[in-house]
Amino acid sequence: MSSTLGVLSDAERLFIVHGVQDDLRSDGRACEDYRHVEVETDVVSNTSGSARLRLGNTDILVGVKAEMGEPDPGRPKEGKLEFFVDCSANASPEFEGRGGEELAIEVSNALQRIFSSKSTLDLTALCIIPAGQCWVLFVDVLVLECGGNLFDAVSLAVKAALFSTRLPTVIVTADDEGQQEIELSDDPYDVKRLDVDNVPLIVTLSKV
Amino acid sequence: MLKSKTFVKKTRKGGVLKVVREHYLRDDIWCGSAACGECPQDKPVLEAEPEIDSSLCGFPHYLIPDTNVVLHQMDVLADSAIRNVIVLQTVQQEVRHRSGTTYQRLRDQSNNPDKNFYVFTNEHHRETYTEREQGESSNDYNDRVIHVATRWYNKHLQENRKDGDAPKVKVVLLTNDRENREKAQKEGLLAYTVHQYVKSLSGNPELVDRLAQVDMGESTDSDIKNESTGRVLFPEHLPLSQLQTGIKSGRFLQGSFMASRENYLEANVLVHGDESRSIFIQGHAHLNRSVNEDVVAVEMLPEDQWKCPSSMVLQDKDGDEETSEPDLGSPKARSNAIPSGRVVGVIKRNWRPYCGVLQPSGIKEATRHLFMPAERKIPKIRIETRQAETLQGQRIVVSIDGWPRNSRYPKGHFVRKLGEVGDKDTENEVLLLEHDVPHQPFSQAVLNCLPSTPWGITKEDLACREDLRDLPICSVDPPGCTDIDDALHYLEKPNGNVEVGVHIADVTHFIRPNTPLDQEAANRGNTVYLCDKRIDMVPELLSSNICSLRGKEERFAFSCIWEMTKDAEIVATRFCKSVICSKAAMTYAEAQMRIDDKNRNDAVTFGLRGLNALAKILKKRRIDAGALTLASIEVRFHVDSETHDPIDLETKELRETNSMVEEFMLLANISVAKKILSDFPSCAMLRRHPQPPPSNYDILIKAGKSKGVDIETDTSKSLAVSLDQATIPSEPYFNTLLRIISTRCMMQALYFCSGTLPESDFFHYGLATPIYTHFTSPIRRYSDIIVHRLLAVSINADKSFPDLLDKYKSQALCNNLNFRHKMAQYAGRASVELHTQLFFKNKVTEEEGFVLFVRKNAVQVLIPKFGFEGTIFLKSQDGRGVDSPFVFNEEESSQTAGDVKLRMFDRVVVQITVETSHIQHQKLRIRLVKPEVPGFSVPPVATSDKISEPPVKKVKT
Repeated sequence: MSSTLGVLSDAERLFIVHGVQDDLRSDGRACEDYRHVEVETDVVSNTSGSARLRLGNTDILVGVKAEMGEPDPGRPKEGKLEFFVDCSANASPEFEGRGGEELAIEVSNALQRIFSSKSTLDLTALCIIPAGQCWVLFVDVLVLECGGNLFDAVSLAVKAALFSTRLPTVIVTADDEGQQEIELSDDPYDVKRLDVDNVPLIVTLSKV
Repeated sequence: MLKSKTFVKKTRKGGVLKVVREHYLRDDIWCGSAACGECPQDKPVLEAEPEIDSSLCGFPHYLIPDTNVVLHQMDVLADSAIRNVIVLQTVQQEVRHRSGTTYQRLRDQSNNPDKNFYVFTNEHHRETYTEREQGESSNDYNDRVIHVATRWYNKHLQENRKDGDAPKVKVVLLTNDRENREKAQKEGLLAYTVHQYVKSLSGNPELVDRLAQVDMGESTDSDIKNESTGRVLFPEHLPLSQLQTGIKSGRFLQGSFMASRENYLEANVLVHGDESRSIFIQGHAHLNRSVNEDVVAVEMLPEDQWKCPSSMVLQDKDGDEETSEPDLGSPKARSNAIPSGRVVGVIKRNWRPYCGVLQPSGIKEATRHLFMPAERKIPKIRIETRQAETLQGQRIVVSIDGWPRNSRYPKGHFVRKLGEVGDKDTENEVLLLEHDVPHQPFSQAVLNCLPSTPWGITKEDLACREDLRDLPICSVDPPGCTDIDDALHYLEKPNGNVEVGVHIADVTHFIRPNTPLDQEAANRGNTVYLCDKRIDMVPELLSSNICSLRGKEERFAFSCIWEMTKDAEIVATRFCKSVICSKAAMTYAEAQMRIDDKNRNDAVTFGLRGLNALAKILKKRRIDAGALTLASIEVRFHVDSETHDPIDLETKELRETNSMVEEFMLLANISVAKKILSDFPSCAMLRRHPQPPPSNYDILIKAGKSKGVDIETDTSKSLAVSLDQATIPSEPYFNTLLRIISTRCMMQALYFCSGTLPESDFFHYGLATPIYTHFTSPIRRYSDIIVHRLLAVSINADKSFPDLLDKYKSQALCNNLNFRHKMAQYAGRASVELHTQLFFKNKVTEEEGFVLFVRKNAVQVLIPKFGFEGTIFLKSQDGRGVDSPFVFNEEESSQTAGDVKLRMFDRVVVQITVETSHIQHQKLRIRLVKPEVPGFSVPPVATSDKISEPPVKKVKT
């Protein structure tokens, strides 16, 4: 931040310093106040789970699509999560062209790192047939408007979307030859939900 | 109001898909009842005061059937007595999902204004829409939806009565599911089983017979007893999921079940996807309740259990529930064993309503009866009826409901009565139904597509057609033919060549693509000729009038005109749409007379002579190329003009003029085939005739050897040559018999779409031409209509349309045409058989016959004069026949009794009678007269000859 302060004019610097001294920001919050958060879940009916989040001016839409796939050979009893972040050109003028790409990769890498920890989400709950079939959750993050605090907003929206995710219950039957068949329950209410208690939230702080 | 419906489904790849659909609720769906004063509806479907006598519901009421009732009891619902039915959308959709045919029948009912069936779209109605609850099974949910709708109707009709004095109309729920019924009754709804309700209909006792015997958790006490004590006769069918995994893994094979016509304990399963492979199935347990045409899963038996087909002719005679099986297989004959299997499950039943008669029962008052289908491939069916007495001697229709494991026969129910056995109209109806020939009168929608009469040719028509009215065109057809679709002309050109034209009725001018008329014709596929009746493909106005190229009338034609040398070498070919005026419509005999009459020298006669000369050259060329002349005996019945009963019959005579017309038709078909294939390489409709596999000829070669004649079958040419040489002077009929046998070795000729096969398979074996199609009979064959359309597009005379150029749609159409063609042939043969029977009624006839095949317990005899073959049983049907003097020799296929030996081609004399002792199932009975076998053959009846004195007519072959 100091570097930024370096290019500011004296008047601007004075404005910020006074703001910190008086514990008041330009948008009316106190220094340690968090931005206003609005979360709505189940907004996209075609997905297995979804959430829309507004954090101040930041606007994020997350959709979770559950598909069946094969588990990684190294972790046969676990399901997978795949993240994809799209920084829409509408979100900020800086994202125009290929401008948002780097940031998007940074955010998705951060998410991937968070969820690769065993304590974040119980990935064994996504297992259907060990070393055979598992749920793969495709988490699509769409940044509609970027008004700062992007990491916080994304982590919160992802948590909310995973919370609302409903996986249809599957029944695995085996015939006499050991061939395994997957059958779906015909009751749309017969679903499994994920335990997202331990999914962390990111809070960005800056020291003046 | 907008709701959304969400469900998950499994995709074919094994993935899971979530589907979301918008679902709108409306407040403008009316109740459809005339008794309602609230709903602003124009024409209420349901009557204000429905009348039906029910002792259970003594008040006016509408019926709401649940899904299973519609699925299983459609025959009851389709009865004219059942009216004023509310069909819920929920029920309709579920029925559609479960059975296409039942759904179609339900739709037919709803479209019939006399039936007062109202489809209520309850799932879109604001007040009857019900959301599925958590933990509710889809069955329970459907039940609840139906209850909600029923309750709504009751309330709605009560509150909004138009006429306060009229009796209240109530709604009655019909369901055979006990749980569902009890739940409904608890909610205060009127709910009964179909059986309860139908039995309470005092005015329509006959309806009870139509109830299907399906036990949906409703087994009565006696049934349960049966189940616990009754023997289990059949192995269990595996569940569908297991069959599917079994088929995927290759443990089971999927195929169509083809029962044997001759032996009810044998069948073949044609494996899907590998049409040449068939699996043999033998015995009750292995057949395992399969019915002809079902799609079944088969497990192969280990090779040491393979069987060989017995050469016995076996009919299911005993009506008891015995399981003892006649000794079929001769296990010693291992060398003849063929791949055998057993049915482990049924993937899809292909049951249809069957025609037949009731088997007379010993006990008069009994309600359980056995039904004998007319089709021998179908097992007997057990039905319950209380009107057995009135049904004796009647042809009836019966549907199969199911086949429990402890029942020897499938269970079914009575559908309707056709009429008296032996009555000609009834029997005609039976054979049309049995061969799936669409024979209803044409619908109004179809008739609306016809041109208005009187019809005439306009100037615009002439502008786009060649005017060929001045040419000496004439037609030659069998006597009595009213659908004349071809005509010919012949002209000599100044350059020494000749011009020959084939003019075909321009049917496609009147039948435009995708009109109701076109769709109906495509479905019918062809005109079906019975002995005394013609089932037209297109309405009579077209077939016998506007399209028929009648003499001295101006007609539209599609012409194929060749320039030829006098040696019948084609110099040029052209096609055009034209207007013609046939100078004369002749019969074969008339044309022959003109040719022979030296004094006639008009243009038509001159043309006929020219054509005749060319035809001879063409025919010779064709035969040299290896075209086959095969024999089958066709007979014509002379019918009484009043009663339409056959009074005499003759075998069809062939004149030169027959083959003259035929040659030019073949030539036109080949020319057209070349033209459309070159212009539409991937979607031309052609006709092919595959070469039979060598094994098909085994029987022919064996037959020839028995008389010391070698038959070569490598190519059609060598076959034709060796057939020509195979004559034995002392046995003039030998050659014809050989030709009849070789006809049976042939494959079926088939329509196909050129894009679906490699060009090497286009070959027509019988005609020995590399390419062939059907162009010359558009009035009676739909294939020709397609060919006409293709040709019209290729000469720029007509527009194309998408379906014409779609090879998959075109192939699907070909499959239907092939099926209809086969059925039409079968129906025609069955009609001849029927008339033969009528002809022999009350007669005892003795006639010369020839042994065609020798079987283990019977010989099949061909009687050339009447063109039919019959079976003489030599042993009782269980095959143990100690009483029979005959001994079967499999090696040389002969039957010996004392010093009499019956072998193939042997001349015998047989006595023909109609078996009347068995009025239920009349059939011709054939008994041996000569050679005499003491204790077996019957003495000749000298006096009977007088009755059957044959008309003095030479049997020409």
